[in-house]
Amino acid sequence: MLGTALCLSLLVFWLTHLPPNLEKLAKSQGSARMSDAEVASWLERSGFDRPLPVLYGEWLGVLPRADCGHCGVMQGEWGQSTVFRQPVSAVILRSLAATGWLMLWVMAVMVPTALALGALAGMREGSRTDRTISVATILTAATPEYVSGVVLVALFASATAGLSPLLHEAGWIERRTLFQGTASGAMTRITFWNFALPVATIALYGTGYIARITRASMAEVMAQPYIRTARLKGAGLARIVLVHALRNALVAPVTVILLQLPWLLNGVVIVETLFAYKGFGWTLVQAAGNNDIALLLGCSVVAVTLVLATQALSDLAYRALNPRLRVG
Amino acid sequence: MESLGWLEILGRMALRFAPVWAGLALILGTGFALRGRLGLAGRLFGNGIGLAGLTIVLFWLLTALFADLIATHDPLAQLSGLKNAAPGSPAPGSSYPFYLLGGDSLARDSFSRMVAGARRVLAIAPAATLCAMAVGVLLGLPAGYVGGRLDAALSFLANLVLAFPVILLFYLLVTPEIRETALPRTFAALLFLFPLLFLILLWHSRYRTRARPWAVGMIPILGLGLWMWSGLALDADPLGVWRLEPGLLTVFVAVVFVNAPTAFRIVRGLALDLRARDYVAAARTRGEGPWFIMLWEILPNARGPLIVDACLRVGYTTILLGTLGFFGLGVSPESPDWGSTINDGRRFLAIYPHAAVVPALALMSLVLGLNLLADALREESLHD
Amino acid sequence: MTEPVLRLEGLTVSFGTRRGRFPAVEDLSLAIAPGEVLGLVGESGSGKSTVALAVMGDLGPAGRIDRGSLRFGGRELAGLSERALRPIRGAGIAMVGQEPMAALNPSMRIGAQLAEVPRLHARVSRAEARAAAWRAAEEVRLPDPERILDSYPHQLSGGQLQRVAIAMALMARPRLLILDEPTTALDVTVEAGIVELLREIRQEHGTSMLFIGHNLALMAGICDRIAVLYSGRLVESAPAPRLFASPRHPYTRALLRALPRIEGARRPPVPLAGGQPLPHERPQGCAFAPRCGHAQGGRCDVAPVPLETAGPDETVRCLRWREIREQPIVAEPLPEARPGPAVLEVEGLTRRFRTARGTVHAVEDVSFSALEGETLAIVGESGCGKSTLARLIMGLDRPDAGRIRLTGVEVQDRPAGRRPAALTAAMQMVFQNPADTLNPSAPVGRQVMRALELFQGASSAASLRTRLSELFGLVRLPESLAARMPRQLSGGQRQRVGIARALAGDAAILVADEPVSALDASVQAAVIETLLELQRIRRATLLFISHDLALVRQIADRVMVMYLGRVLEIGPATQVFGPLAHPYTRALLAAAPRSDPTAALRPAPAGDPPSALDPPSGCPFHTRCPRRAEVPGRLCADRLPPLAEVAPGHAIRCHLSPEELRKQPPDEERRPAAPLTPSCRGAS
Ligand SMILES: Nc1ncnc2c1ncn2[C@@H]1O[C@H](COP(=O)(O)OP(=O)(O)OP(=O)(O)O)[C@@H](O)[C@H]1O
Ligand code: SF4
Ligand code: SF4
Ligand SMILES: [Mg+2]
Repeated sequence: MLGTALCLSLLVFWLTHLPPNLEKLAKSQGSARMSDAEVASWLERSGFDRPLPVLYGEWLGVLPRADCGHCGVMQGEWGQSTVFRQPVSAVILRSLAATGWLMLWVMAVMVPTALALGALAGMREGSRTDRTISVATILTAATPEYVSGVVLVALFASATAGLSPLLHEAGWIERRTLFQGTASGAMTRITFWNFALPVATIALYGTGYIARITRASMAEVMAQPYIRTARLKGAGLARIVLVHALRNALVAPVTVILLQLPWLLNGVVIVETLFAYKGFGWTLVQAAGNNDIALLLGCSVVAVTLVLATQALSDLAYRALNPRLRVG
Repeated sequence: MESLGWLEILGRMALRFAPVWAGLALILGTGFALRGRLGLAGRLFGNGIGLAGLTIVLFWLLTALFADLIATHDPLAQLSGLKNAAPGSPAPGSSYPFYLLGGDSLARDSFSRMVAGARRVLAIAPAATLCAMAVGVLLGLPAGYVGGRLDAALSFLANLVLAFPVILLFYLLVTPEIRETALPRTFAALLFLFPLLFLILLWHSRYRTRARPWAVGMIPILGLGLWMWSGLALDADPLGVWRLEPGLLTVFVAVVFVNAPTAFRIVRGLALDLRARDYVAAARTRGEGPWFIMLWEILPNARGPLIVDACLRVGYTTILLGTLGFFGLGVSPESPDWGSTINDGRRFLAIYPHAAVVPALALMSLVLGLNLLADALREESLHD
Repeated sequence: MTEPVLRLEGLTVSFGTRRGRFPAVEDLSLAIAPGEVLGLVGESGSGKSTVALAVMGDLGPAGRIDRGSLRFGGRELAGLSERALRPIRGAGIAMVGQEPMAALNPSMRIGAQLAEVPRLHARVSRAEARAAAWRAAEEVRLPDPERILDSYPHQLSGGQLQRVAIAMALMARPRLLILDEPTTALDVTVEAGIVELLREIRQEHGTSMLFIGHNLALMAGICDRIAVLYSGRLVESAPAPRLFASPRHPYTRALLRALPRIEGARRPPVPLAGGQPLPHERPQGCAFAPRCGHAQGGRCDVAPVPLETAGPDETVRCLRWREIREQPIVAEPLPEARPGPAVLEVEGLTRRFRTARGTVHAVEDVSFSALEGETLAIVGESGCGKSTLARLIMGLDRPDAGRIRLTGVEVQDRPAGRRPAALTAAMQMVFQNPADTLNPSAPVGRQVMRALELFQGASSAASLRTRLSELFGLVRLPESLAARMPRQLSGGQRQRVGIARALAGDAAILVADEPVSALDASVQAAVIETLLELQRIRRATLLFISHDLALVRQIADRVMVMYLGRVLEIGPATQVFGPLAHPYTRALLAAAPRSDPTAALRPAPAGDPPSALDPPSGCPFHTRCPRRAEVPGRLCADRLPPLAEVAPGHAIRCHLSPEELRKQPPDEERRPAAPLTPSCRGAS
């Protein structure tokens, strides 16, 4: 785990410190029309001409720096963001808080819906309910966030198309659009009207995906001999589903939900860009787009740590839900 | 000239798609007639979801094939006055009297761009999927079959790549700066070696005891394979037939790179399951080499889940390509691919939604078709 | 006559598939009297389980009762709604299935699963339900009920789980208990315990039972009446003693002949050619006609044969049952083996598996040698290391210690694939699972051809093809099958292809790991016949791994008995099955079902085998050994007895002296040599 984290950070460090990136950094910090010699001397002055392991060691904080001694990531010194002209840690903390709200709402919408839909569909495989839910979930699982976001905005937040003009003309809404097409207002105050679309956009894809897995797992469990045993004991459908099937059927989806978090991060990046919500994803795009090496490194470390943590968590959850794997 | 109404637009579009309808009728008709002899593929005809999926996928495949016939305009041509034009706006003095689905913010024809985008997606996504599957198979089979330290090492590498959020990976790998380094070429040289290696091992393990058939297969595999490899990966084809422009190469490599670890995981899991079978033990006791066992005893029996996965993966790759386009990574600004068209269009989304919605729906329907197909294939192979 | 508990009248059940509706059971009429145990036997696919599920009203969405009635205590069950069935399920009729592990909810404690029954049917309090669960666990003789009720299913052994399942079925005191192959997944010793328990339950509560199975010998010991199902139709039913004494239907006769008999030393079971047609592929007329030695063209193959009453409580579905007066056929005794020199020598072979929970001692210090031309049987309960031993010998796994010499060459350090081609060809393996032994995605002919290419690579393509057809002839398969895929062959045919493949390099040693245990009895006998014939013709050595003692007794020259990875006894079959034998061998023999309803009851050996995870110190068998008290002190628990020779070629691992071993222990019942059932007396 720690090894993985180190490997990954080294990889990111290497990729962000490739010569063309550094050259671009020099030009953006100095002037765009620097000659090659000037670039070289700028890099030398800033210390970027030293070997990569040394730089990495300094960044990590295991090697001393000329100015401040051991001051790297491990000491909490994440460097200075060139775009925001602020310490990286401050930028990341602020954006993480914003994204936290988004994730919270997404989870609150997505998880119960997905589990309920999946369990309902898998309960009676092949029934009409199952087919309807299946097609619906395949549809949403086939719709990436940048598509559903665009479609949702066109439908609900466009002044010229979709529902809003109709509602406006009918006098049902005061505003020109039903929902707001951006979520920048949500940075200060979250309302249903500015937050519903971003949350729905992320949740749609995940709901479909998780519901598919829940359904498959539920259908498999319902075909197990112990469900027949319960039925032949004289238990009714409700009892069979709630007492016997659900717990066994939830092992797979819960693991998946946790593994799904990194993918959620993707959705977050897309949605925050689409709806101009200044969270973690938006910051990542800013950092990468503007060659803000320190910030990009910081974002990467946070993202990768998040992924590794969810992997460990999903392992734990799997163990907790599966009595076979519990020790003793 | 008058603008067209929605009915007229639909009618005219249907007419433009005539070659696709003809192709669909031909393929589905033949398939239906022969469904009894087609095995798994034939059973799709008795499955509503499968048939729907197959039709949608074929529709886009044929559209990509006949894109030149279907498109009404040059996807890059800008007509003055048609900036953000509404669907059905007249386009006097051009190759077709109307912009069927309107114009985009640079006054290009949305309909033609959508059609051209299909060709681009379907040129990359299946090839990238196959390449990723080749990597997954060649690394996943030994990891699952041999296990032990080899498995630990390969799994570690796969997990390393998987721990990157895809977008971060794209932002690190698909930048103009990276294209200046030797990284994409090196990666491409390595990744493109896998399909070739796959064929070589497949043939060699089967016919190593018999010289004649060995040579008969090996010479064309090596000749053709190395030729294509040198052209596509190294840009060193002496005849100049095989070439990939550097931007496309980077995109291709990135997409394969993102897909390979998950393909690896699936193949590894299947191999882990199948290696305990008696017929594998039988092959070992009669002295078969590991590659014969992996490629001829294990792989054919894993084909069901792998075909399903390939379908889903082409869809996923389509989404990834769209993501790249959406963030403007690795594509030239005027490229007609769906992702960048959505990205261009979203700036005026609230006022002129059609420019973004058209490619969005196209992308969604293709992925939907692939997912429906995969679902039906899975169901049919389970209920065998 | 009292009202039967269950009466089936003309029951016809069909299943809908995407290719149409197929009948599974046709026109079945049966009755079970109060307190009676009815056995329902048939080969796989004959529709036994379908009957059980029809009675329980649980045929699933595909199944349907087309005709007939099902009366339970006078109440019609056919057509009842799910809701109306619920109070009957569990409380009126209960069912126990084949796989106890799968039948219990893996994430619920045993106690909760048991307590659910009274909670559902009697609406009692939690505490009362718990107490009832406790009593039920005691009733089925589960040791330490407190611990068991608190366990999850994966923490218990197969035998314990099946007892739990039976306890659960009995908790609401049902009038009818349906048992669908309740012991098939269990070892003989455990099976004997379960059968004993069922007998007691019946005596105590007078519960009627429908006992479904494929093993006639087992049913002899428990059923009052037996009904034989063939291809979805009842072919014969009669009281058990009558059925065994004078079977009427040619199929029943054939089944009894094909049955391995513990008392039939060195007389292989008599095979029955062909296989059972699926109900929808039945020929016109008598379904058994293609395999029947008495079939008459123009008579048996015209119209469906009606079920006739042959006597009180006896029915038979055969046109010629009155005419057939055949002499019971018994196979020729096997000729004495004339073993040659040792071809395979194993010395001190050990294999341990390190797992998360500890070290499993799969094979411990095993030494033996196999001689040219002999059949050496390796027997023991499941988990005793038989298959690991086979895998070690074949080079599929590496031993931790010990030596394997194959025709004088040491091969223990050369895994399969690194052995010289000649040695590889010399020893080949036949596998257990017919569904798994052939690669499902290649035609069977090509798979045998591949083996030929490897072993006889130098030959021309034409001569390889000749060899292929020779091999198919040798295992009695028509050559036309070569182009088929494995799924288009029956289980027996697949096993034959597997044997042909093993013979491609003229193997001198065949290691057969349970080659017939997944096959139906009639098919089993045919595959055994093929194996023995090949051995005779080629003087090959057969290493026959099996848990079926009856079969082993019928065909083996020498027997090796394993327990928790160790050899407890090895010697000539006549001696191992004779008066001087290891206490464990005796226990196994006692547990093996006798195909004779009149045979006296024998006590089943106590307890489950301990886990190989941490085998007991001292004699591995001491935790269950009935004769341990005869050894002074704690010797049995402390010291491992040596494998000592008691007669030439016969070695036993026990602290008791040969003389003491020869003496029957006072409490073990003295049985006369088992009486042969009349149908088998014939040639002897
Ligand atoms: N759900 C089902 N759908 C279709 N056919 C079925 C189904 N269940 C059973 N059958 C068919 O019904 C016939 C009888 O099956 P059944 O399982 O009752 O046999 P069995 O004697 O119990 O076999 P086994 O000993 O293998 O369990 C078989 O031909 C089988 O293929
Ligand atoms: S009816 Fe004819 S074929 Fe059928 S069992 Fe009787 S004798 Fe044999
Ligand atoms: S050594 Fe003791 S425990 Fe072992 S078999 Fe002999 S008498 Fe029984
Ligand atoms: Mg059955």
